[in-house]
Amino acid sequence: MITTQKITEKSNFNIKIDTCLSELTLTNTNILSKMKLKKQQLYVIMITIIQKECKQILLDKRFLILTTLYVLIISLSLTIFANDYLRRLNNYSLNQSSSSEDFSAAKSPEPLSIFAKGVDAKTARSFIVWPGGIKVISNEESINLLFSLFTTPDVLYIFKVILSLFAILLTYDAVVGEKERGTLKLLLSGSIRRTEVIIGKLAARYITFLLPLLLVVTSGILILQIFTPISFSSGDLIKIGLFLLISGLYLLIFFSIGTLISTIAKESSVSLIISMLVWLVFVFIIPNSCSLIAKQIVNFPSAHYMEEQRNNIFVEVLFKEQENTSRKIVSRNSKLSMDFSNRFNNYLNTFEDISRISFVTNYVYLATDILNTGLMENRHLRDNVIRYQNDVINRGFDSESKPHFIYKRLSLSNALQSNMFGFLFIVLSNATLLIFVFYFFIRYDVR
Amino acid sequence: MIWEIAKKEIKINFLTFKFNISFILLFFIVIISSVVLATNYNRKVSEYQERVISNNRILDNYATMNRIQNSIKAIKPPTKMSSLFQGISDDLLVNSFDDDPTKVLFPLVDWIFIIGVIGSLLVVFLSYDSVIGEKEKGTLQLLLSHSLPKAKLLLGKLLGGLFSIIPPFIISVLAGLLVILLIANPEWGSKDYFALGYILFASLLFFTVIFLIGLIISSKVESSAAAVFAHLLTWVILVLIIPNLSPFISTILYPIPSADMISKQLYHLMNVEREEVIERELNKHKNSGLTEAEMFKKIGLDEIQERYRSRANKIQESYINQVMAQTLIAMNIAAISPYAQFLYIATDVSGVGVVNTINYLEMEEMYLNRMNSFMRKKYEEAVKSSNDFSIDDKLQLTERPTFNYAELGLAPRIIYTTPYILLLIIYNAIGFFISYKIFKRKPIV
Repeated sequence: MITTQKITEKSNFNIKIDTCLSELTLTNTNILSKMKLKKQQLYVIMITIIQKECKQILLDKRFLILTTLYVLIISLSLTIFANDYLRRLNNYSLNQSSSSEDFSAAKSPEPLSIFAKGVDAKTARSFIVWPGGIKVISNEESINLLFSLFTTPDVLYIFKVILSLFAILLTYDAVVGEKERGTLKLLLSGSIRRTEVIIGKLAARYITFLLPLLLVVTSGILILQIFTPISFSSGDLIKIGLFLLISGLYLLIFFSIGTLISTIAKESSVSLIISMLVWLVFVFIIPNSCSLIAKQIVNFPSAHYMEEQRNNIFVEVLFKEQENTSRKIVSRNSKLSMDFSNRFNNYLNTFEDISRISFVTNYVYLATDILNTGLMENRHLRDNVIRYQNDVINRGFDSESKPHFIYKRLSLSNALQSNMFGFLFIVLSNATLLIFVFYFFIRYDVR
Repeated sequence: MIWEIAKKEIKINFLTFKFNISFILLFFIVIISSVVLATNYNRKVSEYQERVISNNRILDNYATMNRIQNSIKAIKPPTKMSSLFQGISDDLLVNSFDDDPTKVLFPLVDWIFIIGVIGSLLVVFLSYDSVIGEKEKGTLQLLLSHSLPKAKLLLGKLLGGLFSIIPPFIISVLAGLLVILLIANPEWGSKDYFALGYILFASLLFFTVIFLIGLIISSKVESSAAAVFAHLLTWVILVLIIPNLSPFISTILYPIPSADMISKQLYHLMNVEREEVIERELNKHKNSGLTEAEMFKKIGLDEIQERYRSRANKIQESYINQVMAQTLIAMNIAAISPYAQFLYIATDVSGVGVVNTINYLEMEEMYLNRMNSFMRKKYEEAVKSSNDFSIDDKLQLTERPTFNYAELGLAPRIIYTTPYILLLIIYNAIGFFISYKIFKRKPIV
C-alpha cells in the first residue's frame, strides 16, 4: 500500500519536474534557439493562445452584435436576390415563349447572380437582330428609378463593403487596445513567442468571424435548394465555394490591415481612424474613381448616341436608296458598330488596367467572373451576339432557316485564367501585409 | 457660455490628428473628383450638341411619314448641376446593346457620395467621443463643477462640432466649385447657386443628425471604444444598408409586371385583337357591294379605333401608377434614413432626381404628341395638294416645334423636397432632446 502511494507520489513529482523542465525549455527557446522547441509543443501553445483569444472574443459583446447583424443582412440579401432572380427568370421564359418569330438571341438570368448580381441585368436580356441593329429587351423591372440612386446590396457587396468594415472593427485594437489595458505586458512577459501571440490574435479573430459566415451562407444555399425552384448544379456549387474562399482571402487582408495599423498606432482611437480611412480609400474611392478616369483617357459615346446614329442610318438609307436597302444599312451599321466596339473594348481594357491597382477591384473582378456575372461574361456575350448577328445577316433576313442562338457561359477555368493576376495580387497583398504585421509586432515597444 | 464651450471644442478639434487628416483627405477627393466630373460634363455637352445636329439633319432631309417615327426625339441636354451630382443617369431610360456595364459594378464618385458617405463618416469620427472622451479624461467633472447647465454644455458641444466641420467643408466645396467653373463652365445662374446653397444647408442638417446620434451614444455608453463601435454600426445601417435595401424590399412588397410585359400586352391588344375585331366586322358586310370607305363607316371603324386606344391608354396609365406606387414605397422605406433624406434633397434640387426625371418624361410625351400632330397636319396638307403623295414621300418639317427642355423651376423643386428637410429638422430636434435626456441622467464620475 505504502509503496504504491510512494510510487504515485514519485510519479507525480516526476510529472511536475517534467512540466517545469518543459517550461524552462520554453523560456529558453526565446533566448537560445528556436530549434529546441518541438513542433508538437508549438502547436499546443498556438492552440491554447487561439483558444484563449476565441473565448475572449466570443464573450465580447461587440462580436456578438456584429455577427447577428451580418447574419441578418446576409439572409435578407439572399432572400431578396433569390426573389429577384426568380422574377427575372419568369419574365425571361414569358419573353421566350412569345418572341418566336424574331431573330432573337437571349441569355437566361444567371442563378449565381443571387450572390453577386454584377452585370447580369445587362447580360441576361433578349437581343433581337434586325437590319437596323440590335433591339434589346430586358427582363428587369428597373423602372423603379431608385435602383439607380442606390447600389445593389448583394452578398458580394456585403462582403466587399460591410464585412470588410466589420473586420476592421474587430481588429483595430487587437494590439494597441491590449497595450492600453496593460494586458499586453503580461502576455508577453510569459514564455510565449511574439510571433505566436500575433498569429493567435489574428487566427482567433479570423476564425470566429468566418465560422458563422460559412454557416449562414451554406444554410442559405441549402434552404434555396430545398424550398425554392432554384437549383444549383455541382459546378455552380464549386463556383460558390471558390467565391467564398476568395472572399475569405479578401477579408483576411482587412484583418491584417487592422492588426497592422493596431501595432503601428500609439492609441486605439488613432488606429481606428487610420484604418477606417484606409478602408474608405480602398473600398470606395479607388474603385469608383476608375471608370471616370478611364473615361478621361478613352472617349466613347453613350448608349443614347449610338441608338440614334443607328436609327439615322436606317432612315437615311431607306430614303435615298431603292434596292438592296437592308444590305446597305447593314454595311453602314457594321462600320459604326466596329468603330464603337473598338472604342468600347479599349475603354474596358483601360478601365480594368487602371482599376487593377486596388485589391478590392481585383476581388470584385475575380468574384463576378467566377460567378458568371462579370465584365468577362459581358464581353463574351457581346461577341456571341455579334457573331449571331453576322450569321443572320449572311443568311439574309428573308431566309426561312433561322440560326439558333446557343449560348454557353464561360467556364470556371476561363475565369481563373484571365484573373490569375487578380488572384496573385490578393494572395501577395495578404503575404506582404502578414509579413509587415510580424515585423512590426516583433519590434513592438510594449511600454 | 455656450460660445465659450463651442470655441474650446473647435480649438481642440483643429489640433487633433484625426480631424486634420480627415479634412486633408476630403479636400483632395473633392478636387480630384471635381476635375473628373467637369471634363465628364464637357463631354456630355458636346455629345448633346452632336446629337441635336444629327437629329436635325435627319428631320430636315429624310423625313417621311412612314419612317420618321423613331427619329422624333426629345433630346435632353445635360442638367447644369449634373457636373456635381450624378443622380439618375439619362442612360437609364434607354435599353441598348451598347450600354456601359462598368457603372453597375462601380458607381461613380460624385458630390452626393462625397458628402453623404465620406462627409458623414468624418462626422462620426468627430462626434463619437465628445462626452465619453471627456469623461475618460476626467475633464467632464471639472466642466460641470461650475454652475454650467448640462443643456448648455450639450448645445456648446453640438455647435462646436458643427462649426469645426463648416470651415474645412466650405473650403473644400469652394475649391471644387472653382475647379468645375474653370474647366466646365456650366453657365450657372443665380438659381443654380441658390440650389447649391440649399443642398449644402441640407447637408449640414444631415451632418448634425449624425453628430447628435454620436452625442446620444457618447452619453449612453461606458467607454469610448464602445461609443465608436456603436456609432459606426448605426452609420453602416443608416447609410449603407437601409437605403440600398429599400428598392428591393418594395419590389417584394409590391410586385409589378415588367415594362416589357406591358408593351407585349399592348402590342397584342392593338395589333392582334383590334385587327381581329375589324376583320370580323368587315366580313359581315363582305357581300353587300359597298366600297371600302363606306364599309368602314358602316362598322364604325373610328369608334373601334377609339375604344382600343382608350383601353391601351388605361393599361398604360395603370401601369405607370403601379410603378409610381412601387417607387413611392421604396422612397418611404428609405426615408427612415437621414442619408436618404439628404440624397433626395440633393438629387431633386440639383435636377437629377426622381421628380426631375418624371418631369422630363412628361415633357417628352407632350413634345412627341405635339410633333406627331404637326406631322399629321403636314401630311394631310401634302395629300390635299397632290393626290399621289404617299407615306414614303418627303415631308417638309422646317417649321416644326423644337424641344426646349425646361428644368423644373426652383420653387417646385424646393417645395417637393420640403418633407425631407422637415424630417431632417425633426430628427435634429428629437436627437437633441434624447441626447439631453440621457446626458442629464449620466453620472459624471
